Amino acid sequence: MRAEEANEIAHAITGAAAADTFVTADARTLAWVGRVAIDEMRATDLKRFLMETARSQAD
Amino acid sequence: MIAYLATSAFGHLYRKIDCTAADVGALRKAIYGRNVSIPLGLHNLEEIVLARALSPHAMAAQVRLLLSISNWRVLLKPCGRLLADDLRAVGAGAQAPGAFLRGAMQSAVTTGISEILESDGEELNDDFTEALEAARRERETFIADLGEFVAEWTARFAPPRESAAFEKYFASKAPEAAAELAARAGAGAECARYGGEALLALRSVRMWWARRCRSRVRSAPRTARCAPKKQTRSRTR
Repeated sequence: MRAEEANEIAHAITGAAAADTFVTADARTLAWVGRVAIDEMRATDLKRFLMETARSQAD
Repeated sequence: MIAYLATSAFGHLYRKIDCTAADVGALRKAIYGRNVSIPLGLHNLEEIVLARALSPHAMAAQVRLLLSISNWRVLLKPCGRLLADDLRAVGAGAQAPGAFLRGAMQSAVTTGISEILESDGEELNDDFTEALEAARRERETFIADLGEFVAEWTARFAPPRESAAFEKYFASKAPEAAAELAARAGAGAECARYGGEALLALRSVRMWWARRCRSRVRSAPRTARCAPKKQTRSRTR
């Protein structure tokens, strides 16, 4: 397991318990983080998160 | 939107990788407008404050960014503790206690944050440092345990090669793996009364399983939206 990936799992677990969106800058994390169904939970990268945030402001 | 940012994402924001100052400004605006809320994890904080490669000023600058966009008055527990608390709650037939840190550790960290900001990163309160070091040790232990579990159970829970078979695989194997996780958390016997499905209703446990299944997953969606299914939220609002 890569060190970066090992850290990401710790964050993903915390994020799943506390948030509806998990944001990671580690592209490989997105390969596994969305594999299991979690109600109203999604994972995204930073760029997309910021785009969506900006769009929500514009709406 | 409640968004949890891994420390990797905070790092990219700080170094302006995949984003600009205008993006950070727009994010702040969304936070002030209450369109977005970013809870802060203890692991976010310990990874940045205890990073040996950073100078005090660089560390303070990262911490300032972190605190300026997140809600640090309420901190999230270390992940190993979060999982264990959730599992023990199920074993006791109680509701999950929530993801937020409470008690002495919470107080030590919030006091330490105030001092670090006032001193521009020069002063690290002992209680604050101890709390963060304890959180780091918890993370390292969690990661070591996960690696051990993966190594021991690879044959038993080997994921399918085809992603199309994943749901079937999850349905058949995940309850057993969750029961093993509960046993490792010291709540195996208590949780056995409720079954693996009850454990998998916990969001923390489902996410733990997601990593367990990663090894043979080949497709990597840019945005991964999880399929709808009812789970027990461990967050407290």
